[in-house]
Amino acid sequence: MKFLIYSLVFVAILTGFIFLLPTPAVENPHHKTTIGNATDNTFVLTNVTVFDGQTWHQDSQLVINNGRISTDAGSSDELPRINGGQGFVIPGLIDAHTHTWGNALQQALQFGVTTEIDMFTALSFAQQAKLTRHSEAKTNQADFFSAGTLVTSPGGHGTQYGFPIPTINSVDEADEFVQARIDEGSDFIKIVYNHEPDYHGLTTISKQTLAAVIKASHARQKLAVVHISNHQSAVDAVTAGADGLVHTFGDRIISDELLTAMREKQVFVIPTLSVIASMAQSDHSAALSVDKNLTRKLSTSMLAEIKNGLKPFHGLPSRPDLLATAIENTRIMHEHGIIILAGSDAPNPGTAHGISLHGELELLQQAGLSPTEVLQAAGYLTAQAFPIGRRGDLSPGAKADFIVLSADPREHIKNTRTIVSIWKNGYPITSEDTTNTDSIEPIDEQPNTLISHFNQDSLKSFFDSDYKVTSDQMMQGNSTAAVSWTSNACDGGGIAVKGHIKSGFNYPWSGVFLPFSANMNKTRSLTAYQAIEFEAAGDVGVYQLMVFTVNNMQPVQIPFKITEQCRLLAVTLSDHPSVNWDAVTGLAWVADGSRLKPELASFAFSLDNVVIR
Amino acid sequence: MNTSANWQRSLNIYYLEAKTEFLKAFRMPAFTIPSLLFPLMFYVFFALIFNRQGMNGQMPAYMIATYGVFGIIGPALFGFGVGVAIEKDQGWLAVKQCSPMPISAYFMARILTAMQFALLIILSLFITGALFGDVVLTTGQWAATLLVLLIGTLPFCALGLWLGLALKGQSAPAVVNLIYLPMSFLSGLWIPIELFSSVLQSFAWLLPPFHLAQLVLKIQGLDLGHPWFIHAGILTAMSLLFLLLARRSFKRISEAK
Repeated sequence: MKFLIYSLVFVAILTGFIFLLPTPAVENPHHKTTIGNATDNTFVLTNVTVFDGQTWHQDSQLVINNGRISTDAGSSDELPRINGGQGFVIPGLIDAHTHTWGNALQQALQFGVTTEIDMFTALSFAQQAKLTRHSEAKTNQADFFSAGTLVTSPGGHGTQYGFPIPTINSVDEADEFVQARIDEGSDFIKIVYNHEPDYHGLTTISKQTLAAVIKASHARQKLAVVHISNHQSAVDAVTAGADGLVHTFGDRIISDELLTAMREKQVFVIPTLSVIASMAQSDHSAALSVDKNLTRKLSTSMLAEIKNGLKPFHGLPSRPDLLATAIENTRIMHEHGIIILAGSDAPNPGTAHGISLHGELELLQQAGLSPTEVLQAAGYLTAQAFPIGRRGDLSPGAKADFIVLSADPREHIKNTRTIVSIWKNGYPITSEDTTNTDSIEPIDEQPNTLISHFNQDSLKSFFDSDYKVTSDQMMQGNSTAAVSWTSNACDGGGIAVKGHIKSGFNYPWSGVFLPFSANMNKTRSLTAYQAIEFEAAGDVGVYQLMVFTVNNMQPVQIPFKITEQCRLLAVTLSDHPSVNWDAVTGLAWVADGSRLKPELASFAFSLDNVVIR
Repeated sequence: MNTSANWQRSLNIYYLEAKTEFLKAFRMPAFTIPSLLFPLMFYVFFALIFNRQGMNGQMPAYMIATYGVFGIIGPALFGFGVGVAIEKDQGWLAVKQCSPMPISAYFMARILTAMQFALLIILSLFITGALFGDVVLTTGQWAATLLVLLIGTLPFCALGLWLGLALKGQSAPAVVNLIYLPMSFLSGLWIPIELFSSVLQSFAWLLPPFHLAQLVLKIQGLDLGHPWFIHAGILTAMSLLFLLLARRSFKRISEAK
């Protein structure tokens, strides 16, 4: 008996302890803020041009009170003021079609996407991620709304991702099924439908079930959106009463009947042109990953992850017609007054969270939306279509989620990439980049000619650093290299570089690296110099001179040729205006992916008389 | 009429054996201190000091799961692997077999001791993570993490039992260490498994801690995304295999006498 009592007391204490552990802030959509209680997210952003979601306010200001936009009038004089430097302020972007898990919400925010509307993810993630979306607390992630588990048939699209989900068998189950989704916390209902029973080897729900599920959703005041990928399925979905289509289609140009039906029933469309571009094998996404505006603040690891994600669907034929038709359909729908919303469908192949929404905006502009209309498609209109509260606009009461741009997005939508700062709940978002720019100090020197003769048995450079090995192993690649002093270089003493290029990292490299300071923590300006010269000889082929600059994890590559004979090679700095010569952190001479073939993989060359003049 | 008395008496045997076993283990500093302190120390080093911002600041929460797994394996593997091996060599196991006490009480006592140590380790990780790592989970997630980790000691008790019966007392500590540390590392308990090469990731499927870690990480949605029943199924199958191997060793010992 005593034992039993002890056990019960023990379990009670343990339970009490578990309840004492910290839990996320409880979701409270009616959160009230107290005016005048100044916090870090209360201030006035001055000297900016503001797009409030509907109209532009030239040379205006934005009042932020406890993480929400406040009225201009009143006590704004007493608030701290932040100079916006004549920037352009737009509402934080909303991606209306994502599949969100892992670090997606953090990554999205790094690109100014402050809200993601998820179209299907694991329930465990969804229930956790939505907890903080109505909070005005400081955060490093985008807000999250979700369909939770999608509605699909046994063996249908959505069941192939390796985790079990409930599926719907027949019309009779519609009410119960939709109620179960709502009980789980689905913010809206997403349905997968195809008009033919065989959907790329997957099954689909019937037309009758589709209609029943939409009816059951509407009976519970929930939005019902439908995944379709062709014209006939779109016709069926609209006939069945869908509130929105979460893709457009590229199999044919939209019929007048469908167009009329969509306009009359006010059906919105999230074209997700980004993912259609990927299916069509377009090079659209490749351009994003090399856009310096988008990538310069990223850490090496995140950039590598994103580049990997932006590779198009594997093994599909090139189909430019598919993308062209999809864009044309979007253009026609927009012309006929159908609401178009921006969604990327990240992280499907060819897309990545955050960055791909900027690509989608560009595609929507190509589909005939004006830049201001595109901004509304990624903000104001999305918040009208989905039950996501006051966001996507910057009028009083809305969440203080916004982006400050250095260039006017009205001129070209690509200017949404000129991000100066991102603000979430009124707090500035710090860059994910772990390199602390402040600790990198520029060194001013007289432009003396710098020479490494390598006459002594030493790898010392003209800076206080050693020539050393560099390879893609820092990016989890497998290439190797060895660097040593040799007495047999072009002019006697020099550097011998031997290495192997192996597959592993997408852009393999290995070779020798000259850091401009011992710890890579100093930059040097080369603007007073004209050229970098060096002598090289070795295994014939094209190699790369890499120039590393501050805040730019991706070095600029300048190709050069090595022959068996010693040659003097020169790089004229003014020939490469894309390099920030004012803040160089290092140079490297490397072999690259062109040597991936087994017979070329192994390479050796010598380097001598490195001169910066 | 006296079945209830019988039942109480036999429960008392189990209770006394468990209590003495726990006291014995607890009074061995060589067992207690590393078991309790190592997981906590590694957690402080790798999740709080060196890698705090890793995985977008989720590292402290992620590593509650993985060092939790690392922590609970220790007492299970050492309590059984080393403890049973030494007591077997000293003849103490034989004495226990001869005594009127059911032999299951001996094993039950060790399982409960491993779980009690596991509980202490988990709670200390929870407190450290909550106070110093800003780890925030729902009450359900905290409770589920605790429960899955406690039940998760069982496969390692089975593995330890087999090792304890198969190994000589002198060699047991070395061999158990040789299995414990590399197995933990290769299962992604120290460094997130996502950072491993694909070959190493595939290899981890052969290791029981990998599956337990995936189950615990699933509670936070930080796992690799395989269904939970696959991991649970593999763990159950592995436990049965270890028990089968342990039975074979046990028979061999009994017949040798």
